[in-house]
Amino acid sequence: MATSTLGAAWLVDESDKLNKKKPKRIVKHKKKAWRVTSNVEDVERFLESKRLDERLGAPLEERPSDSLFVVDTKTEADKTVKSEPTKKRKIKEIGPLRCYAILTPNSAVTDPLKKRNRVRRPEERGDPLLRKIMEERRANGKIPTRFLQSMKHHQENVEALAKKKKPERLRTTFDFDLWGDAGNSLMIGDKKVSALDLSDELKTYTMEKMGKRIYSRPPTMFKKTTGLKPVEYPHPGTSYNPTYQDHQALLKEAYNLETKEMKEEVRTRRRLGPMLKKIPVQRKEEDWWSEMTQGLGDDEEPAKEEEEEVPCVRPTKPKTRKQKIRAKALKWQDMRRKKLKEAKKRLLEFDRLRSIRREIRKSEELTAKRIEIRKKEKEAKMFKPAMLGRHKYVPPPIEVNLSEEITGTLRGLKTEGHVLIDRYKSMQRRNIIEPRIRQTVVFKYKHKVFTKRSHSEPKGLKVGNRDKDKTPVQ
Amino acid sequence: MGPMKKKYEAGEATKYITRAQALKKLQLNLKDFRRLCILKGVYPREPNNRKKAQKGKLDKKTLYYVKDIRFLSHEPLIWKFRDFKVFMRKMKTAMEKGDKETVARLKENKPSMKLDHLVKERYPTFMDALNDLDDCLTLCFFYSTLPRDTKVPANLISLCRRLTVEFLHYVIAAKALRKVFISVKGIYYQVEIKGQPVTMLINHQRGFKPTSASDVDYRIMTNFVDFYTSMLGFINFRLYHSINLQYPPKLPGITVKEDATDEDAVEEYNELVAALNSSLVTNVPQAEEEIQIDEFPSAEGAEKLEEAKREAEAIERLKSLFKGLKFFISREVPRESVVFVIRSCDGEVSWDPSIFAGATYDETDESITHQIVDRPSVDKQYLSRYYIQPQWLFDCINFRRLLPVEDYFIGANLPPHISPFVTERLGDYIPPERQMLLALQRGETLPAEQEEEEEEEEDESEDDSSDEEEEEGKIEKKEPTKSQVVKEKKGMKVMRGRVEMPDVKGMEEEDKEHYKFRELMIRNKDKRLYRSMMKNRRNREREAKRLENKRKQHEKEEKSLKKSTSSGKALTAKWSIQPLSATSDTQTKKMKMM
Repeated sequence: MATSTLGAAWLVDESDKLNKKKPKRIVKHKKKAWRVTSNVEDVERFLESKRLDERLGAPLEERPSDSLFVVDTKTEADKTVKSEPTKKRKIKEIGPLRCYAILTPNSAVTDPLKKRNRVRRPEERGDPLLRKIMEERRANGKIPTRFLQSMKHHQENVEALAKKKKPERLRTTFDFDLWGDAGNSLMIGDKKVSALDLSDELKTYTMEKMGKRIYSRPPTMFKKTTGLKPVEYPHPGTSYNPTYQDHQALLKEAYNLETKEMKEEVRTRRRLGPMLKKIPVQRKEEDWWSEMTQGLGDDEEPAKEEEEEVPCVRPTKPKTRKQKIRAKALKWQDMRRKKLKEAKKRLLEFDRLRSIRREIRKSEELTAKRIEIRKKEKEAKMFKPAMLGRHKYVPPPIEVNLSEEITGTLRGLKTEGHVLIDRYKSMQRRNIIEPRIRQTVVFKYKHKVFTKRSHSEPKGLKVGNRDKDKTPVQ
Repeated sequence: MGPMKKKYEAGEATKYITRAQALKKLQLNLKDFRRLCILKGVYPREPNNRKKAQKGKLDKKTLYYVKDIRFLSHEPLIWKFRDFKVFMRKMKTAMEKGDKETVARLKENKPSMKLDHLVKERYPTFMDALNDLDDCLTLCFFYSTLPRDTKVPANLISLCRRLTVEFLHYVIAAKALRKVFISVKGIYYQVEIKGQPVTMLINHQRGFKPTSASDVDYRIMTNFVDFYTSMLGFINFRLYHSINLQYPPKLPGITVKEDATDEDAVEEYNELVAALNSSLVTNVPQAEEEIQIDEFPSAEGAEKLEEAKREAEAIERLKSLFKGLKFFISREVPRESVVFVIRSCDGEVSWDPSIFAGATYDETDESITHQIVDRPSVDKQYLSRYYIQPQWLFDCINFRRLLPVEDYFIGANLPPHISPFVTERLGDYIPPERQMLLALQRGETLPAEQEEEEEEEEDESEDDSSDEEEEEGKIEKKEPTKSQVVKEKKGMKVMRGRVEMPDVKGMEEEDKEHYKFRELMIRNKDKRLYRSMMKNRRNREREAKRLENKRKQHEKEEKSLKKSTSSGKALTAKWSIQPLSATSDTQTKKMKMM
């Protein structure tokens, strides 16, 4: 706006110069010119202030001072020091949001339409006469019974709600025998019925109708996944005050395990050794160059090699009729001979019936043996952790107190191992849960790199060598 | 010939389903699927032929049976999971809007799960459930010791605590404890419930040892515990009713309302229950039953029957092992395990009331017979009681009789704590301590002859040492004592007697000859096996002998060391008994094996 007016002024200036000779004349006695000539600003200002007063109420000067000020006669009670408002609390303290302020009515002007249809407030509804009677009755202490009743019910509800037990994650009260009658009973409608009394058909029918059909558990699920005990008996050497032999035996076990591990480590290091060699950066670059330029130099030379003509192979000569007949006869002959040989062999086998029997016996023995071996293997498999997933089961380290750690008293006992880890490993060993390595998701955001403008050197403008100037100063 | 068969459409390939496929089929996420599998008892399987099972793919995948997954799809719990997902979504929106009223309303109607049907489904009979109790107890006991600020829900921890305490109360009331073993990892208890041995491992009462995320997945273990709490609750209910106890355990004389609003009172009451120190209220006065083993006149089973009878007697003895004894526990002793052990063998216990609620008498009580102490010395000692170390209790239970207290006196060098869970094969080396344990478990008393021999041995061995030591030892033994241990011992001595067997040697010879004949009779087919068996046995025996010699050497060294340092009783020498004679006894066993 400001610019446009400025522009207009500038234009006027120009035009003034141009039209200086002819000042505009205004006819004063016509009504049309009044608006231009007469000054009604003061009237308008008055009317504007009047409208404002209408909207906002009377001006402050005219209002009684009681409505504006309060005479503070009471001492203020000691305010408790408020703690730092938490984030949640802050929201409440802010009050109604600023963005809604524009929607609230802020005019003191009464509605000019007296009969505008609007929602009546509860106290305005109904017959005014009836309302008056009711009010009188209430003042006399007469309250309708239904009102009292509802008050009572409300109170009861509130109490019941307060008494109601909080919902628990799981069952905490155990008040019936799961394997007894109560456990077997069914709820049909709101009646408890002993399941034993019902026939199977009726039971399945009701269960299906109620959407509670019981699907039978596959029999494989009742089988044990392992032959190992849930809580394995401890090695006697793990006693807090073990006998010498037991402790030595356990120590030896642990020692053997440790040495095996160390050997393995040495082995892997030896094997990986050449791969983990340190290579200087220069050589690495050279290697890279040599690798990338492989075959580039010698690419040009063999390009000239001309294609040698492959000698055309002549198709085979087809057999003559005579040859074909002959070949067929030969083939038949061969077959006949073979058959004869087979028959002869079979005849001969009558003679070696005994040896055949022996062979059969041997093969049967072998199968029996194999069956036994497989059975044993299967049994042995029951005592080993299975391969249930990508990762292999890793047995926990042996828990043993070193000889100097054994004090021989309960008070000085140094504990080893952790019961929960023991349980966890035991479950893995018994094929109940699969061994796994816990995955943790790490979000990696790509870094966006930019230099601050204030930090970077300004481009374009460069006066002399700044660094050179600065150094003597410092 | 019919149409050509396609690959992987029959046999092994149709039996298995990969985990990713299962997730897709059940429309669950991995977390919920894992949870469901754990609750339902569905385990991954290893195929016989992995290539076929994975339809030609070679990388190792987690496989499940197709039938199992189909069975899972009918589980109503899946709908609960979905409900919960929706609930969480609603909660999140309400929380982020800061809508407290909605949050409260939603929380009030939080969906909850019930796992009763799963318990019933997985364990159709009560005995099945008992079979699987080991895992359940061990995990619940561990969870009950967790600190509140771990990732595990706090109410689960308190529930575990409650249930395990209830179980301990049952064991005490039923006198079901059989074996105890203190290992460096924790304490192993073996309990016999309805003829079924249940072993549990309880960690030592030490501070919480955190684990790294790579070691254990707490979320998975919590799923297990969720199921196990339901299971243990129902088992407890049944067990309590089987011995006529009121199920939510009630202490006599104290009444706390179920719906008491005063949380402190409830907690106090729970603590009193957890003290394990008073017997619970019974439904009906219990009728004492004595189990009598039926006698069968068969000749073959006579020996077995005899053995079973002896075992039963030993167990009876174990049940009232500490009857009439009054214990007091010092503060440094792990209270719970000791109280549990004493109470489940019918003893009386108390402790310093400042440690834990539920103490019944004071340290100054004159009728206390044993005080359990685990420190090198005590300032004020009462003459009327023994000051012993806690191992005595555990060893007594394993030996199934009261052991002499002398070895376990305060500050004494304790004899080794032997595992009761070891079973030896024939010819294995059995350390002398273990032999003692076995003999006592069998219900034998130490034969008088042997004791004499031992004493002689001791005399011989200690000849070099000063005589004063011996005298001291004797004085110790002669101390006026109230305990029955010594009395029993004396009683045994009176009964000493020798029965002369008329022709033992002759009979033995005959036996040997018979044995040789029978060896000759073995079929050619079995001969090799027999020989290898015998060879192995001989090897084991040789090894045992070697170890025995080693042990002797070791003891000698120790003795000489002790002589040089300080006076003390050579415990091991006392324990050493000659290994079981490998002539008559073993031979008869061999015969049976053949």
